[in-house]
Amino acid sequence: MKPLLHLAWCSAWNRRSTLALILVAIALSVTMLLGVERLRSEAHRSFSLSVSGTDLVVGARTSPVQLVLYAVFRIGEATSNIGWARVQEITDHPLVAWAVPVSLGDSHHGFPVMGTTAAYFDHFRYGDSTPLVMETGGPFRDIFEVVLGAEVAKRLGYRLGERIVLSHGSGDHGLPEHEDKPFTVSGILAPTGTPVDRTLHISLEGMTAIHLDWVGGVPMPGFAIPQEHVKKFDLTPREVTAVLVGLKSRAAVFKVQRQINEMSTEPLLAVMPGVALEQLWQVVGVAEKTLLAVSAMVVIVGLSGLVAVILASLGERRRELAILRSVGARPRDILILMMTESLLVTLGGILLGIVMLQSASLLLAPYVQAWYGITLQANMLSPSEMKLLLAVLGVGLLAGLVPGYRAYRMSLIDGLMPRI
Amino acid sequence: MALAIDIRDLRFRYPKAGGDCLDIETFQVGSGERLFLHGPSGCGKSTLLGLIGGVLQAQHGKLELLGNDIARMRPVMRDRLRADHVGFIFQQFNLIPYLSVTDNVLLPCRFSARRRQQAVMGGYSLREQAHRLLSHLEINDIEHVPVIQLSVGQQQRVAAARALIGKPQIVIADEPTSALDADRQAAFLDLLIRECDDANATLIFVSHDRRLARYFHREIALTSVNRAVSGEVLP
Repeated sequence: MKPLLHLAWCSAWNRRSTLALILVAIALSVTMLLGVERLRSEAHRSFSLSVSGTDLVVGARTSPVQLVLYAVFRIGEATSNIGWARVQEITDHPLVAWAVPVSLGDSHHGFPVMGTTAAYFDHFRYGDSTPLVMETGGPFRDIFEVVLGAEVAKRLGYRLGERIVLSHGSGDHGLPEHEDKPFTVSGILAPTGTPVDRTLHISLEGMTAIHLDWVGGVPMPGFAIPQEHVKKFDLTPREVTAVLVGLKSRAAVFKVQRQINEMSTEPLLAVMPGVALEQLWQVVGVAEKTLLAVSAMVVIVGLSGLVAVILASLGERRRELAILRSVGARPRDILILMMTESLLVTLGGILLGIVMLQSASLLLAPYVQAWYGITLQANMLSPSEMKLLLAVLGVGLLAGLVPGYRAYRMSLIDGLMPRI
Repeated sequence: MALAIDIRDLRFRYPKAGGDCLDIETFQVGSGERLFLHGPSGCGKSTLLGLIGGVLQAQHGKLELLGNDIARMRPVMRDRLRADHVGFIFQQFNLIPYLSVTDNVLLPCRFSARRRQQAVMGGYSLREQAHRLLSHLEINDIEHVPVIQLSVGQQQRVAAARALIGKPQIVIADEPTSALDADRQAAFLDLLIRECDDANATLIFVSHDRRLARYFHREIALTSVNRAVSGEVLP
């Protein structure tokens, strides 16, 4: 075996310029395959780390996936809200430890604005039960104070005390602005790698205050309430988007969930975030599998190139194979020689592919984090990535059988005298 | 005298061919003998060498190589026998282009444990043995020259060193001098015969140039022993 390995290596090295091209092609395809797999698993990880310690998310009746998507990930919008009285009922429930209402819908330069209570900063947990930490400043104490997520502050260059104007509705451009009631930055949160980083947090009272003189999504014509006078009004919100609920005991989660779902006063939906995420993965799974399948195809294309290149070289190597036969090589040795050669190239492609993936992970991590909120880590290969690589190696070995068998047949027919 | 090769009633036909390519009643080569085998092209020389080398299998008859009937052997065993006991030199392009001169010479030792053991017998390393053989064949200082840059004469002598390393009992040379000019032919033959005699190897030398026959103990025309081609010419 060892002499054959040496021969295969020398032979491959002799044709290195051609094989290097194919090696790079295989490496690129492997990078793509691993990249898709890594993005997939990191997306799962990021999503599942985004919320912890919250036992139930309660909103108006909709699909569980949709509720969690807008309440926790600020993706999409709520179709309807829940009344303030329900928030009170849930808060007063004997099994509920804490309940934090959130109110969504406004934005600032594309970043979502969320109305909530100061309790949010005490109770919200992410990752492995990590609490939110203030980088500078503190929670909002006044109606017109705002706490920025780390990414918001960094991208927009905001500091403590900065005065900012919120927009009505979500999106990036052309939104009506709440320009008569600017907010002051009271605190900036430390980075979390979750949607919190992209959120501006204001009090529920602030949320009510900026909409006092608005009707149907536009300022009421000829009627304006100056900022200094809003305190004369009752700023208790009439409705909120959702409520994050923590229970005194996790064992009660199904019981409380059922009770909320069966409330007769208003159609509500309580979901466990983890369960909703599972449902989400089932939906997204189809797209993920398609992407993975496409990448697998690309790998097959790369390996086909390898087969083609080695097959094409066989013609000019007939003489060489006959010489090997004459010095005692068995047809089986010729087969192994050919397969070793394709295996060497496949292996080289896989190794280069891993290197390229890791460098890409390091280079692109900040952008992926900023744009998609997915934390990419250039960590060791995960078991699922290893499985994919083994599959590539296996297919490479099978692909090597094609030129291998061809050379085997050829050396049997040619014997010592190739008919050139 | 012991026989290196003993052929009786051997018949061989290529698959799909209309008739026999080779039909030999007797053909014997003694151990240590130097045989000159000649005949026009198409008389079955290559086929006979393929049968002796064990890459072809006869349909009928006996072919004994050093007392082993390879006509009845499994292909793997024939490959083994070839690796252990037979050295080949071909007309041209004898060398693997991507291996060094030394690695080319040592190729048989990679496939045969017996040749490897024989090569290191005098207390030499494989590499030293290869260099020793090369210098016997009067080529020196070409270790670092890529084999494709060697002259044809040098290439043939490297091929001879490869055929001789590890002392195989039989050396088969198939027109090894036809690409050389007359002076070099003579020089090559002198060296080859000297080394074969030193190793006590049987030499079968195939050529259509009968002027070379005077270097050998015996001369055989293949047409006179191959009954399949008396009259007709086959591929």
